[in-house]
Amino acid sequence: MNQRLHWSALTINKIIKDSFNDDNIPEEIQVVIGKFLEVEDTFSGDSKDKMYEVILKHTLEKFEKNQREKILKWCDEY
Amino acid sequence: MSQKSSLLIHKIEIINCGGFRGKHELEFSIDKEKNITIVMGESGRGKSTTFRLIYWCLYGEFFKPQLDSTLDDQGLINKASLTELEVGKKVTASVALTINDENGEMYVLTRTATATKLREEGGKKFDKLNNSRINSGVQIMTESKLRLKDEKEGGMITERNESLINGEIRSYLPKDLSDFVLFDGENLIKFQNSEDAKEIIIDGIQKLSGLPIVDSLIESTKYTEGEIKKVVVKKTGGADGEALARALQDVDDDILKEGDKLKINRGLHAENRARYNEIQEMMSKTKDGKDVSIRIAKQENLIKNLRKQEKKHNLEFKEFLFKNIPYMLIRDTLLESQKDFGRLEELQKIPPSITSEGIDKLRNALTCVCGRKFEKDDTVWDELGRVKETIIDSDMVSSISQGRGLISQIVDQSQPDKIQVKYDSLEDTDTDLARELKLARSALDDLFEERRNLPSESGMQSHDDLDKLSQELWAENGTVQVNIDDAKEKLEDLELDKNELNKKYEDAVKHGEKHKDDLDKMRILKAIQKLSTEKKKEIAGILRDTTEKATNDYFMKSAPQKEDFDKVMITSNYDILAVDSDEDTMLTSMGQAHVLGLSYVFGCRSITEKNTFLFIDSPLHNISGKFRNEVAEVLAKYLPNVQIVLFVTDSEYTSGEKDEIPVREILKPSNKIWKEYEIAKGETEDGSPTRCFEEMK
Repeated sequence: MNQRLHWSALTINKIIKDSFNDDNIPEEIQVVIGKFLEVEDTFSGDSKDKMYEVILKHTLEKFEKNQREKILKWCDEY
Repeated sequence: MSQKSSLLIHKIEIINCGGFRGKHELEFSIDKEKNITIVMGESGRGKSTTFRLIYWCLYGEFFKPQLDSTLDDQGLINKASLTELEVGKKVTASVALTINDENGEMYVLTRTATATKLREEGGKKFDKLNNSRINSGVQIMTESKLRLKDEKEGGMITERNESLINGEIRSYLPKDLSDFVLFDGENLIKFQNSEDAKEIIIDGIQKLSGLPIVDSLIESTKYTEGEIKKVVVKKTGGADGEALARALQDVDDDILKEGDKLKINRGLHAENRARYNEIQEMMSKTKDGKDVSIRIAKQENLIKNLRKQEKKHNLEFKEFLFKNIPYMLIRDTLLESQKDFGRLEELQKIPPSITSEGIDKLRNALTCVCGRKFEKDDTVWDELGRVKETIIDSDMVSSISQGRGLISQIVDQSQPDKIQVKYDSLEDTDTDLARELKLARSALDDLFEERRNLPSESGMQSHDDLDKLSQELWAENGTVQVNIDDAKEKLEDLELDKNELNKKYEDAVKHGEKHKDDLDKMRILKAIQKLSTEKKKEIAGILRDTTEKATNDYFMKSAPQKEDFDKVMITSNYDILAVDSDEDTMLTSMGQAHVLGLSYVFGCRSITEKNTFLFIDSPLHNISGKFRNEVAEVLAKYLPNVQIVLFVTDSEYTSGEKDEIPVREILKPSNKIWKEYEIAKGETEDGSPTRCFEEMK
């Protein structure tokens, strides 16, 4: 396979990326959104909800207790 | 723009495609100064075919994919070559594009379609790869090839993996943005009607911003949240939990079912519409057919506008009648009342108000509401008497003035003369509009009749049959629309049911610690959903502003009689308007509307990161005379350094209307034209008829 060629995947529009890179959004949520966008850009079909759940599961597992409460509070207040 | 890196199409090589039999080459300008190439041909000679072959080669898909119900037998591979194909033999059709950047040749992209006749068959089948009907005994295979520089080893290498090739090309020329490099000039006429232009602008903004991915993200967060919710409800346990989970599932299933129904009917509607358009196009294949089709499109536009006016007028009429009929009905009673009031005023006999009656009752009861007994000569007693007089006085005055004021107002409004005058004027407009509509419809019928009697292109169904088919499709779409409305209504009801169930669900899981992780996931999903919906609006807003600015820059620089305008606005509702300094909408001439459309395309291109080629099919179509020349001037003057290829008909380009200068004479002095080609009729070496490109002298 020619290395110079690249897949069209992961070509999320810069305007969209920049828009979600907002200081008012916690970094942890920005990361989750970034991963969701990658799922959207790469896959189509029925299994996307399972991928979303896995991303959320890993995200929640990684959080310290305080961090989790802080992020969830932000989500509720948003 | 000069800062941007370029992407140009240097050459196209066509073999056995469309009307082109054998091998044909066409070179486009890569000169920065003389940046325009003209491809001219009579109607039906192959201009649009060439334009669409470029699209097919770039994207591996058809510019206008046909449906399997198509009646069209003209597809990708040269029809004569396919017809003459013998059993066991093959014919290969291909398009190769040489694509340059500012450093020279970047790619040579080739798409090939090979047809093999496997057996003799009488029938026809639709073939997606050929985008037309073909003989049932023929099989078609396609392949792609991309020749490019090997940056590591030097020299050229060839890639044959179609997915990789598509990925590479689309990373430079996203398919979503193809409208801004391969522009169908037929769309320019839509800029005369703000509703039609709105569709193009919303679509453009969506494509430029990549917003569909955000839509998809919002949908997925909603769906995932719903799926987690069902799991949580089940976990709440007990018969209630099970029943709620089942009810949620049922309502979701019903929503899905109705959604599918809606989708199927919308698809059917779009399919019928596409087939309808296809039939219209088939009837426009001959020069006369095209001419009458343009007139039909204009007439249909006129009827559309008249119907809009009629709708507005009917509303005004209805409001007028609703307001005035009750007045007229009670006019006599009111006039009598006016007399009664006058008499009562003279006699000063106004009936006592309820308040003063209340005071009488209070006085007669001899007991205050606080329980205290009134006594004779009580000061409160006298006080109440005074209050009563005051109330009667003020009641009398206000009753008379208010009552009489209201009555005279209504009597004035119900003046039969005034109402009659307004009614007559409304009825006149009504009659005028009905007459205009009748005339316009009759003129449209005549045009349809004219087209039905025209000879069709050889080998195609008669116009009479095609017209019948298109009318059937139109009628069928009426029924489909009813189904769409029905499904929409049911969906609204189901959404209400779902909301009710969701409320029950919220109560059920309010205190559930055991599903904390699931609930937390849903909290995050909800926030992302809301955030993404807001961001979507924000992004569309940014893009709208940027598009507005870019369109305005081009329009105010290039529009004919631009001094009449102050600016171009794209409203929050995506209406594109040319306005004066008071922000009042100005009517645009046909030429100005075309330039507005072109300004929008140029504006959107300026937002993108590359200076890419711009090929326009029929940019001068649907306009004539001085408007056509104005548009041509804009194309020549206001797009420096952009590789422009214009596909035009001979009647648009070389011959102006009576006493008018042909477009060619306008473009030539600009010194921007590199070469002009004509698509002519020719012969291959073995004497078969073909289209060919000839440089014009």
